[in-house]
Amino acid sequence: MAAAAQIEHHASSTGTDNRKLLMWIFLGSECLFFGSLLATYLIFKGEPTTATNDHGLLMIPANILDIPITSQSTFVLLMSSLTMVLAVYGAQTNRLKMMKLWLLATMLLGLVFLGYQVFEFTTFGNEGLNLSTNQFGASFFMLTGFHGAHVGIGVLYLGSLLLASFRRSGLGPEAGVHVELAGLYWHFVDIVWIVLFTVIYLIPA
Amino acid sequence: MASEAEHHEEHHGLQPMQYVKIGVLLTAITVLELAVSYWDAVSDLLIPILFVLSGIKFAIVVAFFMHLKFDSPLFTRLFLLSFLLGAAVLTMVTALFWSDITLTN
Repeated sequence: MAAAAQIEHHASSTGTDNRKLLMWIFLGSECLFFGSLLATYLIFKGEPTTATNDHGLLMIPANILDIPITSQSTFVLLMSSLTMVLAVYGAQTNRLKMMKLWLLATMLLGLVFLGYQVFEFTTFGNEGLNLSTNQFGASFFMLTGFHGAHVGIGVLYLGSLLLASFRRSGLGPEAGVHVELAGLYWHFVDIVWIVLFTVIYLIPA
Repeated sequence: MASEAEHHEEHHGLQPMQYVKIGVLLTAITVLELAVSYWDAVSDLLIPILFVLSGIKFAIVVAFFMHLKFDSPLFTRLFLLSFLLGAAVLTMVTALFWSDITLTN
């Protein structure tokens, strides 16, 4: 009864939950944000540069990007979407152990993805590519860095839910909605990477 | 018990095994993308093929993992509109600098 009253309280005039509506509006604004960053990358990635690494190779995407490594991190992020949807399923069907397990798995996969990104950035840094090396470096680090920041925020978001789920009252009667909202954010981060992986790494310069 | 039944009714989506199958499908598409990107024979068609494959992955995640297929059509319209707006910004800004891009590549 209490849960039903709560849900009714959160219903918007459109008949949908206003928190979900807000999350979708936020994700919509994120489409514009990443669209602008990607456009900037596409414009600047081919700018002429004289910067070279230790092997004398120009600092351009074809000489720098490591597709096999990034394919592994892409797989990790895809799998984190699978574990996230299983956590949402657990929360919505009141299988709390399942929810906690898959939330933890999603967080760990997110951290592994971030580990890959730190490795990639460090490798590029050692090669001599950083934000100020050339236009490609600046736009590449901005774009993938902002995506990484979104993954980091997602990990913290999921961590807060996991922590709250260990309270005596758990996530409350609306656990399903709370985890679903986090899931929407997490899957969005995944679909952004689906686009970035194709455009930055797979499509040749 | 009643509470569990209420929660069961809240879930609008697929069953865990179906989600796992979708995960396998997404992995298979990613492997295919990777294979195509190294395959010289399709180099002329590489960009359209990669766009189609990543578009399929994108649509699968949005429809099934984000539950848009089962949720209110309002969310679908809202997201589609925002996505198209983002894609339009991307296209227009890139088009504005197209001559620079093609000259330098």
